[in-house]
Amino acid sequence: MEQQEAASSEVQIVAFKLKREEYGISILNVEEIKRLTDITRVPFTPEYIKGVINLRGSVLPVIDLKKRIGLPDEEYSESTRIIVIKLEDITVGMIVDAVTEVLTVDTNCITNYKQIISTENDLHAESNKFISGIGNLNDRLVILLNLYEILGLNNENK
Amino acid sequence: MDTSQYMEMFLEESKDHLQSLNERLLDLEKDPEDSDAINEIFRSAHTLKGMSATMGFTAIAELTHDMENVLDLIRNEKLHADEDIVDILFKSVDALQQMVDNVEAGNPEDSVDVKGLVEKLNAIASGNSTGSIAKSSTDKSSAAPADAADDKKADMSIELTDIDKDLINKAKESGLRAMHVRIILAETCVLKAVRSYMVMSALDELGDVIKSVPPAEDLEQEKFDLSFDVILLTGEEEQRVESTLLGISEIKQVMIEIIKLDAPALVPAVKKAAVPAVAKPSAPVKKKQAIQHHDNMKGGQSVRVGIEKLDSLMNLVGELVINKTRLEQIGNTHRITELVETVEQMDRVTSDLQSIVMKVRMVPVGQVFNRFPRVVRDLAKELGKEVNLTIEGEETELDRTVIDEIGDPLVHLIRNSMDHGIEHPDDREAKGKPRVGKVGLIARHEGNNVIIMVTDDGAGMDAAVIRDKALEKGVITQEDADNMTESEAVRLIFLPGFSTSDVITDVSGRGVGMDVVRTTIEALGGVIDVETKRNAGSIFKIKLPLTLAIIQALLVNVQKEIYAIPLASIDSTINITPDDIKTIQNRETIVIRGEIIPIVRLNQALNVPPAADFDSDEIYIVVVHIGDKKCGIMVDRLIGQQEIVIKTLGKLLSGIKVISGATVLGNGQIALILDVAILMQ
Repeated sequence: MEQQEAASSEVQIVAFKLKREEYGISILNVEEIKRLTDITRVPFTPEYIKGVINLRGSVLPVIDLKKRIGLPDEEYSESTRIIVIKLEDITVGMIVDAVTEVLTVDTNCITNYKQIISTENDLHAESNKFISGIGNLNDRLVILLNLYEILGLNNENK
Repeated sequence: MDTSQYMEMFLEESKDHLQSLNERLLDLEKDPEDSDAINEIFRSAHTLKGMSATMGFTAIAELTHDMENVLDLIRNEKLHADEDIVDILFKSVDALQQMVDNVEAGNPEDSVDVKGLVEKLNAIASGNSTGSIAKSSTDKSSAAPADAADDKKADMSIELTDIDKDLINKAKESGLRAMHVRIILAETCVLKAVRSYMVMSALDELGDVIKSVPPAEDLEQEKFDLSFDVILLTGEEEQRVESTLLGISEIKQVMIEIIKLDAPALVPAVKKAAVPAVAKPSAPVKKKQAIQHHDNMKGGQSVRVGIEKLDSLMNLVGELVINKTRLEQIGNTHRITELVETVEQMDRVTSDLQSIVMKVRMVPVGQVFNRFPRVVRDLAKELGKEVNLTIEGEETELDRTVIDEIGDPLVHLIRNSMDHGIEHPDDREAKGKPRVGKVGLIARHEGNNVIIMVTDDGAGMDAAVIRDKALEKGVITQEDADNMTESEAVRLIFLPGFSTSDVITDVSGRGVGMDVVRTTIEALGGVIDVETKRNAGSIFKIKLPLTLAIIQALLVNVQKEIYAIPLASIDSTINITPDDIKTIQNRETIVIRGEIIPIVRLNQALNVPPAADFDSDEIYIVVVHIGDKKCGIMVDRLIGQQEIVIKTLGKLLSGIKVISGATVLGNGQIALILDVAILMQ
């Protein structure tokens, strides 16, 4: 997302909910948004990988985003969605509680997360790495996620 | 000329020609008098020269041109194809290969340094006592400029027959102009025939060529110096004709003169009758060229198709199979007879379609094998050994994806056989073996599999040495070593980090080799095994599935999860009661027809979470085998046999060993495919 912020002063973000918090990822990474379908469990995978689904004939891995970033998980509901994202050559589904809207955010309104909360704080260090910044839209806070970290591609980041 | 659309064709065909150059050079090396071989080499080099020049790859064209000079001498028995010459020709072919590879990769083709080669080739060509022949082509081009210069001064006369005049007059009446066009090619032009052809086709677009001097056949065979004349009937201006022709590369000059026939030709009838035989060439000009052109294209019997198109065709057929299965299920659940009948029809069509798509993807294994004569030759020289390679069953067909992957492992095995297997000629003699060692590459069908064997009659492997080595490297424990049979010990070479050679050579023995070979083969769903006999040689046997994309599988339930077990590895299925399970040293086993078979509880092996609303008091065992080892997989329910399309799990989930892939079932659900070999470990 960093590159796009540099390229233009506005970024478009798909905003979604995890519990009561609002999160966002760049719209350029989003392929589509799907309703929850049958998920086939895959053995010997990290807990946050829910399994695989059938996306029009191809096999798509799905991760539970709440589990991935260390939030307590709960039952899926009517509003649960799978956001299909593509990062480099990896396509993956992310389970979120609800997709809210597409937001246009001025890059000036995005604060570096590390400036607000000290990364020295070991308690949150693990989940901190997933966050690339905070978007502040008239007191509505949107947590911007670092997809490289979420997919474990951190070495290629930036 | 925009050549990009021909690029693919050029690359494919160049590769074919390079391959044939390699093969025939090997023949020539064996028998320097083999005139068929030299003729074919010459033809391949010549075609390659033509194609590359047309495509504008001058570096390739120049090198092939120099090769041709040498080849021509050999062909005309002015030069003996001794070892040095063949060596240089081989090196030239290598350089060409590199250039073609560069072209394919989008790099400039002339980044390969061929200066030394060119000098050597020229030295061979001119160093010959009858050097005049070698020079003939250069003589021609050096003599030509003089001709051309003369031509410029010479008046532009062309002999017109009465028929020509007749045609010219008729054209004039219909408002066309008759032009006499003289085309002078650049002295550096290597492929005059190609240029003349391009000129002719350019002219054809502008108007009608009614005559050419020399006639078209001679132009095609390069039987002309640097210039030729044509008479063109056209509605275009002279400038346009000139600029069009100058747009073709390597055209030095174009001279145009409007033909003015002073008086309508009064043609005496007698003369007219005598003429036609001479005058005719004008009309067939185009036709002949067209035919020739078609010959070059090798007719319409085969079409080259990109592999990615075949892959997507394959995928689509896969989708079709899935949907067909779905329809089948709907028909069966709702008992709609008509639908079931229709689906049966469809079933036949889809399975035909599937087998055709499979066949299309099948490529003879010879495509991989044919590079080995060269590999073996070079390696034998390098190692100072004498080796005879025999290839059998190169017509055996395999799926394209397998063919692409199998090359490197085979190179490795062959190198291994030659480096470690085959002894030095003197040692062989001392052992009472013929000096020349034998390496065999054999392919054949065996049921639904293809077997590829690499054999040698070399030193073989010593099981004890391998065992000690493995112990020393800590690959196995002393206990393992003690309980090991000879054939098990030999198989240790496939373990990671194992190399039998004390000296690490460039050829093989970096300690990664056999392990990598095994991994590659297994990734293709194949198995590799080895048999060896001290001083008699070794046989490496690779067993590969015919195809990778669609397999027959048995679907089973574990709790509520569905897994697919490839049918190829299933021996039998059996329904047992808990009492039938016995334990031997805490390992659960069952006895089937007197055979003791260990069992694996799939729910435990895969950590399947127990489902609350699932109960099954029956136990099913699926007996699977890998090689001669058997194992029973315990499942809750057997669903049935089905054709499944294998899909990968993708990059993110690639590390899971026990799952070899996934498939989409008729109801859209995904089932995972078990890797039986891993499960048994």
